[in-house]
Amino acid sequence: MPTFVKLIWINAGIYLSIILWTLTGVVISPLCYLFFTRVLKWDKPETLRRMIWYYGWTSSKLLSLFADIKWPEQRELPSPCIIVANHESFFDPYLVSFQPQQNICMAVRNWPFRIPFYGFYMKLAGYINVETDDLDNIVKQARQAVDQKATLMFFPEGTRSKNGRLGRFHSGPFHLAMQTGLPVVPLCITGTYRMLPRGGMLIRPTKVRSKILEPIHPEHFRNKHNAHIELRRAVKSTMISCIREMNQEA
Amino acid sequence: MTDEEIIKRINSALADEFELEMDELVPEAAFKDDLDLDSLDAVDMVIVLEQEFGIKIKKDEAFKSIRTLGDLHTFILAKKDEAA
Repeated sequence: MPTFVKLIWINAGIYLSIILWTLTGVVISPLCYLFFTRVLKWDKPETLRRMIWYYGWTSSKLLSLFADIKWPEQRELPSPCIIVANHESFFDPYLVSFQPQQNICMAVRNWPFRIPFYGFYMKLAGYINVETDDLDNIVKQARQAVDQKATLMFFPEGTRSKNGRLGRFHSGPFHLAMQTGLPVVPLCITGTYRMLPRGGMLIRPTKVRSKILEPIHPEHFRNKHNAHIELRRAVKSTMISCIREMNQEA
Repeated sequence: MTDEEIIKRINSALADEFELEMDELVPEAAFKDDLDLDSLDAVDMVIVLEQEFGIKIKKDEAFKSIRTLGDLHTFILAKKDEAA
């Protein structure tokens, strides 16, 4: 396929399919939510979390119709755990479905809570606001989500990469790991920066790949000075090596 | 502990937490423009300073108006004086 035609195909396909699926979601999700929570009596936050995961999973499948996307080998994750993923592009939150857990509680900055519709559902799903809450509150909300069998998920860079490289990590998920003892599972995503870098609108064809790495257990760092920083460094260096290898293979 | 030692501890804690070089940590350094720290970093800063000095600063209104490292030094020194 000529490059120009390929660009039109991928951009029209991805934008249209995501917009249509999102509009469909806006219409059907209240009905689904009412059915699951009122008729089937499912737990409310868990229902919302699973619905959001399903929205991401379907979006990712739609993306893969137009772009070269492969899922990692789906394997069991320790449950509960804290998943930390790198953040290269707008598409990464959709690709949360790269990991197999459906009951995901995301830790999010303050501004997404203000997005119409999305923000409302995020609040109902019990997503954690890591920007305005203090650590005690964050830990409390995280424990509540874990009690509801949720897996916690962070983008520890806090924002999309400015240059495609892994940025500085915030400490939130690592404090949380040290306080709760939950293992940290790194999820590495490559290719999404080449596909759509920050500030860009034109989607480019590329390979999107991901890997779920071995869990890193906080107890190995318990006796160290500034344990959360040591844990953070260990997780980040593992992710840097993995992302480098994945980029070389691409 | 002298003021100079407190300032050294503050700088060292921030360097570790935010992967900064010690020579970047001059009093006139603005958190946002010079050190590239944002509101999410402010959450981490509160945690690290509270742990380092055993003080409570989260709900302190004066903390919200801090813009430079020098402001932070002054704020923490005042807090330590209050606690003494």
